[in-house]
Amino acid sequence: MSGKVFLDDVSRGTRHFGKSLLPWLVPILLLMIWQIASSSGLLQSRVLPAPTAVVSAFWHLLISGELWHHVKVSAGRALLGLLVGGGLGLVLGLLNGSSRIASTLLDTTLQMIRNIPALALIPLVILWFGIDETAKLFLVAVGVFFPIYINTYHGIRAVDPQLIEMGKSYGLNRWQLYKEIILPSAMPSILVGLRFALGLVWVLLIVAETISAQAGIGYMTMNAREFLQTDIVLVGILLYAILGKLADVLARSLERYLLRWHAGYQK
Amino acid sequence: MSNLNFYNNGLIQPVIDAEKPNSAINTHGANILIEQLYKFYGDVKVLEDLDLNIQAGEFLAIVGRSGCGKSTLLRLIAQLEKASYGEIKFQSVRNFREGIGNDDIRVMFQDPRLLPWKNILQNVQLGLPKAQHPLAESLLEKVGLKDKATQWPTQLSGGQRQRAALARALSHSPRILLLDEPLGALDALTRLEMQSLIERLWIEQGFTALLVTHDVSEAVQLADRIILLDQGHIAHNFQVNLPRPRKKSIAFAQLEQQVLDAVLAT
Repeated sequence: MSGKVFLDDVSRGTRHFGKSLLPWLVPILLLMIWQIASSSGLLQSRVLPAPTAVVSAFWHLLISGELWHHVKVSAGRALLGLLVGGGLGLVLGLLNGSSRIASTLLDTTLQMIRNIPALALIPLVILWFGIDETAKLFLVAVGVFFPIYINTYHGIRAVDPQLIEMGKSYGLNRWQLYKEIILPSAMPSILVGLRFALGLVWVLLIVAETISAQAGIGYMTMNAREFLQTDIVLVGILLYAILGKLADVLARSLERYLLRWHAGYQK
Repeated sequence: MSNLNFYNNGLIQPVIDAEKPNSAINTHGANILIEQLYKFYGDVKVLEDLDLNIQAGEFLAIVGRSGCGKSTLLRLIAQLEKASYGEIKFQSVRNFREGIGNDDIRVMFQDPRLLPWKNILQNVQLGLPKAQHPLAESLLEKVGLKDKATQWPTQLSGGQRQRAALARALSHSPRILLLDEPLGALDALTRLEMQSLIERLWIEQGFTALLVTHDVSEAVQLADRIILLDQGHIAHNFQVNLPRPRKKSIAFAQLEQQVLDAVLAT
């Protein structure tokens, strides 16, 4: 009996191990092919440097502290842009979702602006703010504003009116109604908006940082391109991927914590 | 009953009955005085010239076919909606000057309407001041959900959720509890358990109870008085003089049949 249980455990263990390893198989294979192609001279380092070259470039940048400096600047821009654009989106979404007058007044205008791609504003932004920090921040903020605004707005609009009626009849005042019922009810939708925004933030940042920046991952890559340092260009691209993934993981764990009441998040 | 006889003076003032203490004087509940109540939705007349007195501590059941206006009447008493015409007055028995506030009236809806993002205990504590939070725990114990306090509503069965809703409704020690077919969606056995739970808490806390139901047997089981609503009027008024806790007896069955016949005749 216990032997069978033990065997079951072992097979489940190996299956689990296999399952968690399986998604990495293809990337590892690709990396190996890439390395072999580079070292055999099939792939010129001007086109694509060997993985080992990328790793060593990464290592040198890390040791010199340069990497950390650029990552700090980029992450700072992303965070500040998210805070300004996302914060504004949240506030306006809450306002327009809760007040009919505000939404009649503002929603049509916002929906019109939404259809303009944020990156199409670059020429205007450069004319308005020049090429300094404000321009980059503006682009990021405009881009992340809309996903958060739209999802907040719809989240608030979709609150179950029966719960609101219950809250009112159970003596909750307006603020309590907001805090206890409306906001938590809209939270799943707001978090979807946040994840969309986090996906966008890096795309916008890549473009924004190519507009004559003095620091940041985008600057680092553009600079490396000038000197044909393809290994550093690749480090930059990888950094964006890592940061994007990191942001998504953070957003997911935030979701798992804030929506722990949701049936979809219970074991 | 004389202190409820307020039709004699045109302006309705709470009338004190100084000489004779009412039997309900010890109750925690409140009188509900309804006079010439009308409710329209557009051109549709749902309630028409309805007069009804509900005595403090009384358990009143309202039955009738769907669309007879029974839920509307309850929603008007709950102040969820405004009457088109007429008045609903509340009167505390212990002290007639004492007003009836929002916290004194509680509704239990057909669906539990628990907040899914709060655990059971937090749901029962909804709107309670911090100092009274321990009260919520004791109420959970009374409805038999003490061990479910930290669970989410989605983890409970339908009957358990409705019991949590009952605990929440009672957490402000209301003087009037309005029950809008709260057991309609439960299975027969759970419904019987809930009925005796509601009866026990009603006896213990002494609130005025108003039950809207389509289940005549449930009305006979719980109510002191049953009124039958038909097209916005009170068509019948049945007194239920059966000893509690009520068992299915011949008298029970006869009354049930009588009420059922009356409902079918509408």
